[in-house]
Amino acid sequence: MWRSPGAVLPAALVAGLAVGLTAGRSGAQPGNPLPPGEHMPLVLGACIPCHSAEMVAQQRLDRATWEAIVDRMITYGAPITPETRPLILEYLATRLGP
Amino acid sequence: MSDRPHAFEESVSRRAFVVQVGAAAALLGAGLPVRAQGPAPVPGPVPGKDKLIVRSPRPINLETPLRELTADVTPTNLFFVRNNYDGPVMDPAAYVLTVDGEVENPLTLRLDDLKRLEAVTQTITLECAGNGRSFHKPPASGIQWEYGAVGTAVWRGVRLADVLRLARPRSTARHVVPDGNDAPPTPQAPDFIRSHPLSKAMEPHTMIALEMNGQPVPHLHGGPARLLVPGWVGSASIKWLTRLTLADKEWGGPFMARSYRSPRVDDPGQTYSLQSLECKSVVVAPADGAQLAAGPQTVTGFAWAGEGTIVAVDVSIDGGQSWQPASLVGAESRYAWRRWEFKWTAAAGAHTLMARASDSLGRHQPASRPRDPQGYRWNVIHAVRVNVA
Repeated sequence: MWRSPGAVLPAALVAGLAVGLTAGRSGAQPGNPLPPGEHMPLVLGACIPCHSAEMVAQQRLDRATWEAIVDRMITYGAPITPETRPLILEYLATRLGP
Repeated sequence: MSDRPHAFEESVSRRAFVVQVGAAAALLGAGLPVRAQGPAPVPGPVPGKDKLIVRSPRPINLETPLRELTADVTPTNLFFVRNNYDGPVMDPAAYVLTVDGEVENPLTLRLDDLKRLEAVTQTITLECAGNGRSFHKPPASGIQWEYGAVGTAVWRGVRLADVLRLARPRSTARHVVPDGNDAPPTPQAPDFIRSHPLSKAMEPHTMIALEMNGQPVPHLHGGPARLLVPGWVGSASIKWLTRLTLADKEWGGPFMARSYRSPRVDDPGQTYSLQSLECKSVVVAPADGAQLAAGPQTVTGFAWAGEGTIVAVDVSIDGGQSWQPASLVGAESRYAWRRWEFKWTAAAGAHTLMARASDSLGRHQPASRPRDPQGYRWNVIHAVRVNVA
């Protein structure tokens, strides 16, 4: 089974709100395990509607592996656009590389 | 959702909500000072699981620190939690299990129906396939477990075979496809389903657990009813079990076809679907970095082997140059880990203690592991460094 869209919405809304308010704040932040970086707010907005930022922050992966994961997450409905995809990948590959 | 969750479940449910909103709320703290470079913040403990390491708050993934894995039966508050997806707390009174597919007699069973079947109680070790993933080089993607995604509980419930017999599997039935009440966060994300062959399902140890360590199975561990496919990677033991579909072939979804697969030994370009756990042991005491007094000391830990049984554990006190047999403690219990013990007269100095298990299938713990892109099967010989003064 999966959740009804109604159950997904609050988390997505909260995440979107958070990202909106933190846009441009790319330094380390309390409660946020992701390392600072230019596109960190974009990464948060793409990932935390569905899972914790800790799931991302504990990985140390090369660019090809990140690319495969990001593309899989897009098929799962992650809010990533053709415009944000390369920026998100740039952050992941450089800030959370091996 | 449950109208009347018991206290533990309620606190966990609330916690999940608090964690979810809390993460965003923390981000909302735009007025707070920006933290300088430093260690990543650690999420707070989950109620009822205070001593566990929070690998992820959502979905909830909790690791037992190795130093806490001292008891033969792991207390529930210390038992690791691995969720691919979280699920809503279920009301036991509304619980329904559907059995369908390649059966003559499709049926639905409530919790009381299950409780009318013969009860079985078994001590079974569960280990996540990715336990030890953080030690793989190069790094593998997934939860970065160290040693503690393993535990042993006393499970009470009913044999899966007894349930399947009620449904009368057809001769075409070859696999059991169990589904749980967990919830992918989007409609596009795949349901978490892992199938197993009917032959394993009909084995008398394979069960639907209703109790864990003498209490109703808690929500975090898959209650009110979870599957237990003993000796196999933990992901086979579907939580919040709501459906058993008999099928003529293995389930083909991504959690069979993409995840929980390792390179074949005879052909590393191909992968196989993980079933049995590896032959493995860990040193629980002394802990890595311990300061010990010279004189008599005991090295102890656990060993397990999935579909094998442990036949020996050898211990080295000199970093692997020489090995001596440890004692296997207590009686062998199918699919439960085995405690081992080694008495040692500690001399002053630094020592590297190691344990190496061997099983009835002729498997031994290796000194290294070939690359496993998804970070499974970590069973490299465990070493701890101690100082004796």
